Amino acid sequence: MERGILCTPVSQVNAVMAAFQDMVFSLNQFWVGQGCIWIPSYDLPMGAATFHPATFLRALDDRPWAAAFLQPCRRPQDGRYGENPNRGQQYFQYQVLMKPTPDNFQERFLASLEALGVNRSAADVRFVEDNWESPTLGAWGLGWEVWLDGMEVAQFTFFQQMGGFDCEPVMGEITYGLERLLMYLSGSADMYALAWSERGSDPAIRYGDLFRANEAEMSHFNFTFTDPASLASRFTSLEKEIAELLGQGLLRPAYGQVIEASHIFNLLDARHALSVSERQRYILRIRKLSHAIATEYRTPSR
Amino acid sequence: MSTDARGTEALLVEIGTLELPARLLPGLSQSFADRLSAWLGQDGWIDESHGAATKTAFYTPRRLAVRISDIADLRPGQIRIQRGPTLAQAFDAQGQPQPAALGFAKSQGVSLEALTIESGRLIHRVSEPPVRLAERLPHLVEETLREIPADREMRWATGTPPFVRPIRSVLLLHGRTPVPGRVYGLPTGRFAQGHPIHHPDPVPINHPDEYESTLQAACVLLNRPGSGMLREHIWALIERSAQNWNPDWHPSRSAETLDEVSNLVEWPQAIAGSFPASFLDLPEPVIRAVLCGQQRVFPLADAAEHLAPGFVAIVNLESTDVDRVRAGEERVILPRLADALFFFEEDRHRPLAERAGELDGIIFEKRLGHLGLRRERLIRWMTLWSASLGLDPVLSREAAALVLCDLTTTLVREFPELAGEAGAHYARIQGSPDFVVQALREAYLPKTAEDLLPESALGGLLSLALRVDLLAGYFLVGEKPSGQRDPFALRRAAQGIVGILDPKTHPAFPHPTAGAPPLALETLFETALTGYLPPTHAHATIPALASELYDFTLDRLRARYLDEGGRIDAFEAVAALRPGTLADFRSRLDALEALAARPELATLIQMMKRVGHLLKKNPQDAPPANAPDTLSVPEPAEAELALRVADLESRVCADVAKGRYRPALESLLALEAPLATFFESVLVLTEDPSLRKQRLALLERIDGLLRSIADLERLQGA
Repeated sequence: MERGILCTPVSQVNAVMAAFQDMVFSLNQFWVGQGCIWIPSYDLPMGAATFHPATFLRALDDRPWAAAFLQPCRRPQDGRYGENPNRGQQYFQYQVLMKPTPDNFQERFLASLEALGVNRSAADVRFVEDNWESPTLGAWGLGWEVWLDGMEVAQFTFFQQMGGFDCEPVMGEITYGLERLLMYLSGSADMYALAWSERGSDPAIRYGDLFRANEAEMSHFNFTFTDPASLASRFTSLEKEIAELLGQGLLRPAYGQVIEASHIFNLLDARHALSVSERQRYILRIRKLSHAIATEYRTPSR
Repeated sequence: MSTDARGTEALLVEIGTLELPARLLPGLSQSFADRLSAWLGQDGWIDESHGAATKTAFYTPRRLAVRISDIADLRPGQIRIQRGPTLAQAFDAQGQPQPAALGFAKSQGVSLEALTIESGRLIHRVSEPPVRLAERLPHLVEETLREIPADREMRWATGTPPFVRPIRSVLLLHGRTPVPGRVYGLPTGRFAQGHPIHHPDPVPINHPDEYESTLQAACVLLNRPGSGMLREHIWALIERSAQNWNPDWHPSRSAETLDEVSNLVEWPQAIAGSFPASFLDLPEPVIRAVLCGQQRVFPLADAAEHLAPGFVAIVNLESTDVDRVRAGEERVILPRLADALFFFEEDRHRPLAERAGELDGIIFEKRLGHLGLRRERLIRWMTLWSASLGLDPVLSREAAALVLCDLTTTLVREFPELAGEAGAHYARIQGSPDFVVQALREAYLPKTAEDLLPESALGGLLSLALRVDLLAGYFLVGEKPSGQRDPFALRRAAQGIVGILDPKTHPAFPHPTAGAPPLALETLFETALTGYLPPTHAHATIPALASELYDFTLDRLRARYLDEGGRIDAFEAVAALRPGTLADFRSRLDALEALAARPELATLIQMMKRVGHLLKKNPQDAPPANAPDTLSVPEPAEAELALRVADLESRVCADVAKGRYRPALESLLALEAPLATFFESVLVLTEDPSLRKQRLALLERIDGLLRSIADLERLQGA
């Protein structure tokens, strides 16, 4: 029998997901089945899927919203030159947003784990208090981190404030950490050894095949080759541009620049270029910008 | 089941929720039970004809519950009397109703004619019909939930009031009868939440008394605030699991982790696992920080109490695949240990002393400057104060110079609780003297009231200096704790100062060297306060703040003394003298305790009150002379007393100066007899002004003597 043509027995429909792309497909299918729309990831570097306008802006209005998407995220400081099997400067989040939040949001999340092959009679699933806060977005929420046999694989949050404004109705957010989740599902201790795809290609493509070189090069870039002085001046000019754009009523381009400013701050931080007090000042500067965006977005004329 | 006319039965209320924060659970559970039963009492539902009602609070991560005995089903009809304005306020001379009368009628929702007049007032008699529990209970439960204090409440659905976490089910059961209604928009009934995996369906409860057993059958073990029941059950599971995993190993208890874990599970099961023995090269506190602090599992130790390469985790279900869960836990612990090892290795290559410069970039408190300044102050105070204890000034200086440096290491940034321990390890590797290494390790001890105290004098002094500097700084910028608010844990800092300086708990410290000034508490604070201000800027508030800090610290000593079973009046009698050192404070207390039962003391105190009264009524113009006044001829009892006083003055003064308070107090007791004879046979307030002055002067000297050890007047008598 040729490889690549698989006849899946019925009893294995919920077989443990063992490849990254299949896990994403399953999550898409599951959440679309729950009434979410699938949307593309945002094409700017960001620290977390919360920066995606589908999260930040949509949490600020009173219209219903249900969406799911994959978002590559970057935390320059977590770069380990591709040598640490658990940490990298780029990783993937899968984001689910539901507003208003369904009563059985937690059950739906648990069902999504089952759809990925988690055996709930065997796995220790726990919801442990984790109150999320993003000082740069002027946002906070209450919720849990989700442990699967002691590994944190997701965060479950009810947004209370965004951009300094109360969220009403409340938007619920589930953020899956996909590398960790797949490490749990496949029993692997090395993120780079995770299968990306096991179908239709021979040999199978591994996560490391796609991203290890990127990790090594980006770590060098983030830690050694960025220029703190020009990053700092870029940050300052972004602040000006954002004010001008907002003056023109160009909210979305302005918000894009805020995302960029936030990434520049993360790059500066990775270079240890900021003292504690300077760091605090940068956070407040970004917070001010995101508050301005939120204020503009909520203006009735829009 | 016997029921009376009011249908008195036990009541069970369970609020099913999504997972509540572990750290808040016991407090939430207690206040829910207390407040609901208070509401029910106020509203007339608790039938106390069989004695006081009992209430039992329960909780798990997914519920708050309370069972209260003797709750009536029917509240009989009653007449409630609402008092209105007096007739004079209600009507004018012509009998016309005034605004006060109209307003009262309006507030009661009735016309003026519906009011009656009783004892000169307008009265509204409200006749309340009999009420069924079902008409009030849902409302009372909802009010209780709204009232429970929480630091941050969650909003989760429009139109539903906020609570700590979303509410999913409400059980109201009175005897065998569910109480229908709505709470937080949810229909009430007899159903409790079962275990999410082992018993996913709602669990019907037949009777409040069957709550625990029914839930246990549904794989939910209830916890009770303050009971420790579940905690000990879990500990037994851990011990058994460790024993089965490796008979030579036993679990190492971590009270904090055990408390937290017992608030995270409903159906605890223990699973043991291992990690590579190579990680045992890490300092033990680092391994503990990873296992207990980050992963909430319990370390194992061998017979010699050295950590073993294993752990026990507590999970929340009887897994069908224990090996998989174990492998999962091991897979998480491994990279955490690897990270810790990575940080530890990274940091050790950079000498601690070299890190001092980075402290200038770390804010201590925004109004108090950076940690570099704190380091400079610590160096100054350690150099100054080490002299009092006869400690090597060079070592003291080095310990002060290094103590903050580990705050810049990646290890401490990752594990803040390792501050001190981490520095000690790096200092040892980098060749610091053993005394300095030990002092660094002990610098943050004691961390809690139960924690160990520093063993070495240098460690004790370093911990003291860190705390005195911290308290002085925060008091200077007005951040004094008030009521429940103590965000910077200043009370704990003061508690540590008391622990270190109190010879009762810490006999090894201090050993004042002969001739050197002792470490007087108020002086320590005064010195520390000056450290925050430029030398030219002599601040007028310093003495007042130092005195406030002295009192603040003494509050901790008072609490500790009362915990020991000490007498509050003895404490206040000593505190009135504001002794400089805690050692001196304790010696005075010891003297009072040793002689408290002596009958002469009680009589002496009585006479002291008389002395005090006389002196207060007859203030002296001039200070009393030191030698007996020879101008007037004394009566025999007076002469006898004067001789005694003169004798005592020299002996008691000598004893007090040497801190020998017990013999001093013994000597004073001998005053009782001559003083009694004096009061019997001599008239103090005689007509002869010079005699009177002479006698009052004598009494004034006695008063001074009686206050030289403690303000004896504050003692309640024997």
